[in-house]
Amino acid sequence: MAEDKNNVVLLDFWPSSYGMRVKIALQEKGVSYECRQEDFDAKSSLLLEMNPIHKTIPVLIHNDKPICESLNIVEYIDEVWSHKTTSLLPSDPYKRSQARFWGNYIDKNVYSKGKKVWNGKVMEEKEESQKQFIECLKILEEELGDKPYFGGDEFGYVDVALVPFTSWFYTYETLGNLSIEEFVPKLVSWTKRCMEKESVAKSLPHPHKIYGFALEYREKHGHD
Amino acid sequence: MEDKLSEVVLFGSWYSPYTSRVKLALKLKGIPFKYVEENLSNKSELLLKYNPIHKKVPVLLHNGMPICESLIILEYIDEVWNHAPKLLPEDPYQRSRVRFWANYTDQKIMPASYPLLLLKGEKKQKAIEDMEEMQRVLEEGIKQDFPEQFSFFNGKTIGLLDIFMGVNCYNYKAFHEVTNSEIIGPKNPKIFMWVNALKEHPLMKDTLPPHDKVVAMLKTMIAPTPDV
Repeated sequence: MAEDKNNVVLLDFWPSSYGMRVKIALQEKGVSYECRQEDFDAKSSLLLEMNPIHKTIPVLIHNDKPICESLNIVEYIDEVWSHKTTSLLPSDPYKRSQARFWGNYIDKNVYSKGKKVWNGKVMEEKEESQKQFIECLKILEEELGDKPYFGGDEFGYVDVALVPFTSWFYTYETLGNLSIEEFVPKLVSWTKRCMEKESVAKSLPHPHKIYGFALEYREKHGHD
Repeated sequence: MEDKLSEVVLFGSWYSPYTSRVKLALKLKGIPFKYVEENLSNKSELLLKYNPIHKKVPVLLHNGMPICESLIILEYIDEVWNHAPKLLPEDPYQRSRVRFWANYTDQKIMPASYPLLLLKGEKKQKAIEDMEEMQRVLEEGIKQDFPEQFSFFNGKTIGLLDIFMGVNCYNYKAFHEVTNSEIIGPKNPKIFMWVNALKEHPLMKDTLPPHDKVVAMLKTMIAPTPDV
């Protein structure tokens, strides 16, 4: 079956780490797709039609059918294009369960704790937000251990789940006044290793662009 | 052939719907297991060892290796014991829909139950309206994603989504009684028919706590017993 570019459409918002996950997965599998940018103040009728319940990106539209929620999308991509390159999820069921566990952990912790660091409004809570965010990164670094990737020797699902947030590290550090490398040097080395991969380098915006976005966001939402 | 009779242990709590999900999946697949009832106000060292990050039930232990989080456990069970009945559909798109609704249940519906139990007056009324809206969303979504006229979302047999949503919906009358609400009913006919099919399912009857126990448990959540 010929892969028509129009077969696969990604509804995205460029600073979203969740959107970046999907781009990396598609790149890893060599899948051609059309990427459409959404404006959060004026969501497209296509987004509202394809994800009426949550109205959020990313949404992957494959043969006119929508798949929502980034890690679901990554699993879907891994299953549908299983013939292309190695799997993102391990083949062993136990290792798969562990990969899903860490994907779930990242989903529950990194974004929300990170946002309190770069967008926190209350001075007194700043120290606590920093502490919680660093704790979360330390737990992830412990899971990484001395492996080159979370998946082991191969870049995989957990790496895909986490690496997009690293494009936000400069923002966390600058607005949160902290040094990530000081606390989690292995994780920072892992970041550099991942950035050597074409799929990651092509999918992550430059950290300074993210920083610019964060500043605009803060101004728009009533920060000083 | 791999020996699948190696020890399976489930750490859980009798009133935890998340634990019930795993019990149902294991029983559905005919997997023998040892059950360990945890006292959630005094968690065992083993539980804390096997789930150090979340410190929650359920935890499935298989060959001494722990798996946490009910959705992850159910997918693991379906992959390791991949004989029928299958918990998830074969088609990747349908699998993504099952996962979507499983997440909707855990991220939206489950958290919305607590305000219904704990709030009073106008705030409670708002909580009821919010929950009713979610049921409408579910009804529409299910019609779209599971259009065939089968008793269950998984077809003729129960599967992951039936289990996921069923553990709470099964005892909907207890919830109605305690919150003085009517969330599940003929106004959402597809869900109502599905719940009634679940009520007749022998595995659900055998595994889930009975109505009176659930009522008693829910009532303690409204007026918790003081710490000794």
